[in-house]
Amino acid sequence: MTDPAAGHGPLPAPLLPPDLEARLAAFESAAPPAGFDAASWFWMLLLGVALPLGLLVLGWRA
Amino acid sequence: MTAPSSPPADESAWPLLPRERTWGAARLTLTLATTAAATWCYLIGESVGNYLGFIKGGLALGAGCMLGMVLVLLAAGPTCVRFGIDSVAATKPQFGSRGWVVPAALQAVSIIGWNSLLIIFFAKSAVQLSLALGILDAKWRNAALVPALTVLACMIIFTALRRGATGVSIVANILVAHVFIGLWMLYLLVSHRWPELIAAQPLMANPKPLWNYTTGVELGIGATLSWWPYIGAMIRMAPNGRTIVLPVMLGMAAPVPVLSLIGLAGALVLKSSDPTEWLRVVGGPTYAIISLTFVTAANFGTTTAGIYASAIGLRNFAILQRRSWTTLLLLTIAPVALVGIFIPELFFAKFGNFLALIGVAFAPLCGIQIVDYFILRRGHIELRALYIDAPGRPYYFWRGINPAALIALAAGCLTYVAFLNPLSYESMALYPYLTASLPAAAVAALVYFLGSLAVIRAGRGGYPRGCMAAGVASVPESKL
Repeated sequence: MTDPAAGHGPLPAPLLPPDLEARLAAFESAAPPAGFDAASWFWMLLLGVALPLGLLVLGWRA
Repeated sequence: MTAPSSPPADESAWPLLPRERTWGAARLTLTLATTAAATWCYLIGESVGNYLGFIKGGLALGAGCMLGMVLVLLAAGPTCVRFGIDSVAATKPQFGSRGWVVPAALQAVSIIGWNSLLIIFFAKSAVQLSLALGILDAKWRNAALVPALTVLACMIIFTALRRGATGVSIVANILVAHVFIGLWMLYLLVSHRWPELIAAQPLMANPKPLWNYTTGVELGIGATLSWWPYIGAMIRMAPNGRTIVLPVMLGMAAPVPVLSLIGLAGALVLKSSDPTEWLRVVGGPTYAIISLTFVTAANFGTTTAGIYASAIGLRNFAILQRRSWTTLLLLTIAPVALVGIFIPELFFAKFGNFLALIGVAFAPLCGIQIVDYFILRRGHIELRALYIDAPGRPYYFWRGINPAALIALAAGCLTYVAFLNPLSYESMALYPYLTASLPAAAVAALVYFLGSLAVIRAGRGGYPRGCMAAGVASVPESKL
């Protein structure tokens, strides 16, 4: 018995709702959407790592 | 015969196109702040006040909240904001095209549970406010009024959410003033009772100072990890990653420790975290009325956002994709209304324990998502595959379920409970050094990583080629 997931043949495209299909096509035809940029990482490191560490030290000494 | 029309973008779980993501940083900050500020801030503050003084407690809580929030942001943020999808849809690459129902169930139970608690708080506050303003006579029985006000609140929320995400934003615009009222309340307590506040000792402090301090941090981490179910539905409305970071960290994470100081201060000085009670002591009935207004408004805003997030989460179920938004809202609000009508007191007394147990799952969930997105997939998500549940598709794994994720989630939850029992607060020796949420997230991430090696070897999961040293081929993109 073979598992379809393990095969490597081409798979028929499943039918999706037209609106969803249009949305997916729009994403696929454009450049990949941006995630976090350098500024995002800076603020995340500052507010999510450096600030908590600073607060921890400050609080422990208080 | 005509095909049923598609729901508007912000009322569906389908990816939002960039042009549909119209929330800028200011609007997102305002909405997230209104969502974050609620009665739970007093409860969190009161819990911290059991173990730590005002300064130490505030700083520990602040550190924990920011740490917890960055975990949530790293877990759900990248996928949600890149593709305009909600928190539940973002779990499909880890849990599978059917396994995502596990995080969906966690989201539904958590949000519906919290919403029920908050709406009962809302109704109780509204009764107190009406009594204080002389609108109601004291002889009225709360037992009858709370269910009636719960239904009224649900009807208002339902009406507001008929407009989708715009309804959430409108409610936030109206209610955002309560955040500033909260800060004013904090100023009052601090300025009136500063010497007592500094001298006050926590009543239930453990003999080990480090244990108390870590518990303050842990309560903060846990508080913001519980935003995982909410965050996707909000940040998907923003156009890119850059727009969401400051609003999430400053709008959603920062208000929690700041407003929790109200509960912390009240618990330490007046032995009550209820601001209505202590503002009456500090400033008389007028201040009590203002604080009641704050409590009422705060819970209303959070519940509106919660029901919206929960309704979007339900949209991921195929059977509900074509249902009307009204039906979906009714499905989401009905459990909250039924709890408020039939078992408000029982729920109030008992459900907190259940919510505490549910809450332990969010740290492992974040660990799994982070390792999957940043290490295993290196940011490679097949958007189309999120919506296809069929053998051979990237996120089908085995019968639509990724066992590695389920095992990792279970391992993370067990780790949490081993480090800290969320009900009894019994802990293991390492807990004061590591917290419970961070090891739970780390263990889940490690187990998921190791389990995924086997998944990749089996050619499942749609992992990018060469993502592991083992270099086993995964489902190629062309198969989509």
